[in-house]
Amino acid sequence: MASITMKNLTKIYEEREVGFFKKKKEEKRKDVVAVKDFSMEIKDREFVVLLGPSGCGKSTTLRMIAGLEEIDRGELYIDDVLVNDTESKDRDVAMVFQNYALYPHMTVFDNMAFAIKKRLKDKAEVTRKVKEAAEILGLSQYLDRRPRELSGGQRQRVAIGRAIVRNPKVMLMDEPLSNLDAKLRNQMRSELLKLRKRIDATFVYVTHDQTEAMTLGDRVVVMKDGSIMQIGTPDEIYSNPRNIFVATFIGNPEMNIFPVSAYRKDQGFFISLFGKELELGKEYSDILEKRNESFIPLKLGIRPEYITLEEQGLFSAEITIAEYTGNSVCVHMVEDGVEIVALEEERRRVEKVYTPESKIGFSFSLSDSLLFYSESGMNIQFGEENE
Amino acid sequence: MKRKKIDFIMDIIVTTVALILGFIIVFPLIYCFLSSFKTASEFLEPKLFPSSFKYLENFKNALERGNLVRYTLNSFIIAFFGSATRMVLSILAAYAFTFYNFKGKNFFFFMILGTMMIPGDVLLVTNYLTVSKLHLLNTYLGVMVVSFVSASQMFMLRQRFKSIPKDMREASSMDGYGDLWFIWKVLLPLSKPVVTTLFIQGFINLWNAYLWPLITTASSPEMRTVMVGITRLNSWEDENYQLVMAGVCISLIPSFILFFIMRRNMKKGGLDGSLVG
Amino acid sequence: MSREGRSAKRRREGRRVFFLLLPIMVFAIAFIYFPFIRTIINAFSRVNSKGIIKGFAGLENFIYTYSRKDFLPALKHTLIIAIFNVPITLVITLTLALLSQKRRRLSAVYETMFTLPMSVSMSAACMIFKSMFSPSVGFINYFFSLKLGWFESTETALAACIILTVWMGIGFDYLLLLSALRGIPKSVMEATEVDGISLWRKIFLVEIPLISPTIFYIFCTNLVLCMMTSAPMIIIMGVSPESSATNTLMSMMYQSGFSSSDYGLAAVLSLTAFILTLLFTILSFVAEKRRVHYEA
Repeated sequence: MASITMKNLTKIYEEREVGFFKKKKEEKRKDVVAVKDFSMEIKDREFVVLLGPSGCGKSTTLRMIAGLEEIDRGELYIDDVLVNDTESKDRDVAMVFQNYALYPHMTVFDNMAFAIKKRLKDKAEVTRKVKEAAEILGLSQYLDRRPRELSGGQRQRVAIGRAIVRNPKVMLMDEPLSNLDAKLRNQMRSELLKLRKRIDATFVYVTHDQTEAMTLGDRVVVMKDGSIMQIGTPDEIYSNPRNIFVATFIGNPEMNIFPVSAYRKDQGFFISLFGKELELGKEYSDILEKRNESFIPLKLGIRPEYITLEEQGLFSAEITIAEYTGNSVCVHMVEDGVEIVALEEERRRVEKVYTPESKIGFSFSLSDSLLFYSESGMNIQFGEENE
Repeated sequence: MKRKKIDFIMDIIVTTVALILGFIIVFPLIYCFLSSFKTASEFLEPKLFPSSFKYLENFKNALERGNLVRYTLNSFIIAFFGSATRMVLSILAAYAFTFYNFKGKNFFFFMILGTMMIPGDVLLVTNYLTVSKLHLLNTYLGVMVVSFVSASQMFMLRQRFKSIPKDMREASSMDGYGDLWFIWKVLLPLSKPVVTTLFIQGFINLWNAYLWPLITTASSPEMRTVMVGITRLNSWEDENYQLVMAGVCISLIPSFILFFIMRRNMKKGGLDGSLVG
Repeated sequence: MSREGRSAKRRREGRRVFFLLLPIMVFAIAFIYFPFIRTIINAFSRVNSKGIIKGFAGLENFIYTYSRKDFLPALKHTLIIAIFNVPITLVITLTLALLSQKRRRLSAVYETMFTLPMSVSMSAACMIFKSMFSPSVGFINYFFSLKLGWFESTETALAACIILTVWMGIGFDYLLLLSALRGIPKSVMEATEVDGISLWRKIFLVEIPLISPTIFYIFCTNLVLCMMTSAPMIIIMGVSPESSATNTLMSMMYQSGFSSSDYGLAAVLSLTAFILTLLFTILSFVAEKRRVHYEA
């Protein structure tokens, strides 16, 4: 049983000038806000992924939960107990570090046993628990080896094993797969999914890899510059991003963003795009109606996979380059100086050949696209204010 | 082909020259070793070799009459506990400087390094006064107490500790291990070559010390160290050099053994020459 | 609430750091910084034979010390040892290091021979040299057919002392130079091969400039060691007012501090040696700024 409640967690780094003696008072402090007002409730046994580009504060948040980083402002509760001042060893949390932090001079067995020896004095019990964890992770035959005799994937397992032998309330993982090569990463990812079902813990998982986030997380927290951009299920984040940052950060290739303007005409709202006038559906016009303006600058976002390439398309553009990836083809086009990317599944391609510098027609449905306010970057369905 | 031959001949010439120079450098030690087997009358005719290596009276006399057994024991106690204490203090400080951030870190760091600027000999007299006021004259503690601080050792350890990932300590502290446990179970095993080399270096330093043990044990002959003891084996009236040479040989044995261990260790740990001071 | 959380962790860590640093700081202060300051204070005070300060003396101690007739000879001897020892040691160890730079079949043998003096203690070395240089039964006089009374006249005694101190320093300095030479990047040495530079030019224009930081380090440490020379005087010559013929600053300090309990005099001598050493070191650093090559 472990829920985590965070209220306005904030972390500020003081960038101190390294002086010989004490820092001078008048010296200007350059405070860097690493995490700003992070608020969220994580339910028991939930798997939450913190996702964002490097330097967005996701690792710092994790380290605050772990107790490795002091909390400058805000409150952190684990199971409704305030733990701001609790030392990390007393929080009943375990962590898997990015570089594994295995002790190179200890065997796999000792590495795992070391994690519980301090609390558990019964040697037989320690052995039993380590063996059990090794069994789960398929490490049983490597117990006598030292970390440097193991492959990257095996080391990764030992690092996870060291955390699960502790049977913690909360499992924290800091980019655990980032040191593995692509193939191994996919494999470990699905193993983590299986593992998760066997472990009775709440997971907080940090990554910059959206695939990991989407496949593993019950909920995903997208962060940027220390602030939360959006919290939601993978599906919510993908299909209904809160703002342009989330929309473009999730999804590969990136979502197309076209600057457009909405204007009032005959009881409805229209936009014009590449010389065509399109009427917005009721779900959009109802929202725009409330603004009581006749001219609203917007941005239209459409994912490349929702663009269909066809001869009789609504729009047309010139192909600049086509990237074949085997099961799909990514077509880059340009029209009016705006770049458009479309993703076509290979099996639909049939006999089409995308020759650069040739014209091609394409179309998409407005119901597949998203509208953002030009100024704030917010999805119009979420209101106007950005964080 | 031709060049190889020139290289080969050069190697032989250089090796020969180096061996001759090496011989000159170790000659005083060879001389000392050979002389220690001489009888008193043999020593008067300044030949290099003794008539036989069976004459062991000098060693016996040095150990018994010169009381070198006791002195060697004194030296061992002082060198061992002195360098052990020095090691402990250096490890604790190096650990704090590597794994903690605190106010005045730089100040304390440079304060410890600053001790290197002051040569120990300058402090001889005032330290003597302090030690005598603390009633530590003629005690083991009094002899070693001035050697407890070694800034260079602390610095070397810190260099080593810095190469150990910080998350290793974070992992162990999350598992409930405190500072001392982490040092003992993780840091030391991982820094073994450096720690042994520095410990041996400290041991040799204390073993070889002369001036400070001389003045702090002046009034109590049985507390002398072996290095003080060997200088008392003769006098201007009674030159007795063969006895002195035997004493010197005895005093050199531990240093040599440790010296060879250290050289091997340094090569193994890739520390050759990186140990300064 | 929030700020309290911060200070709890800070306090906890602060307490740990305090206990980690306390031991070394206690001893550093008690046996290095305190005696150092005490020496300075003593130099300006009237100190009785029990080491207790009896009042401010101004420059009395300095005037007394510098006007003693045995002060100038002691200073002179100290400087002579430094002037001869430092360059001789450098030339010898540099030659040895250059000779043994390349790894050959017997490298380990002669490297060990060169470094062995490192492990010999000052007092053991003094006893060996005292015996070797003994006028009557010493091997040196016998081997070179000399009739020198080595330790009986100032000049020869100083010469013997310089030989002794150079010998003591060879091992460690050699080791430093050797590893510096072997640490020169291979690519640099290969470039000289390709350019076809002669051996002498290679040594003086490439290798020595490249290891100049190590040479400078050895220069400075040896200078400090030489300025502090005292053990050979005390062990070989024995310290008594009559043996002042070969006194150095530090052996004179030893004599005044422990034989005659003249703590004011001892403090001034310590301080003089320290300040001279510091001065030379600073001068070397100034000169070094222009000469020594550090890799960027």
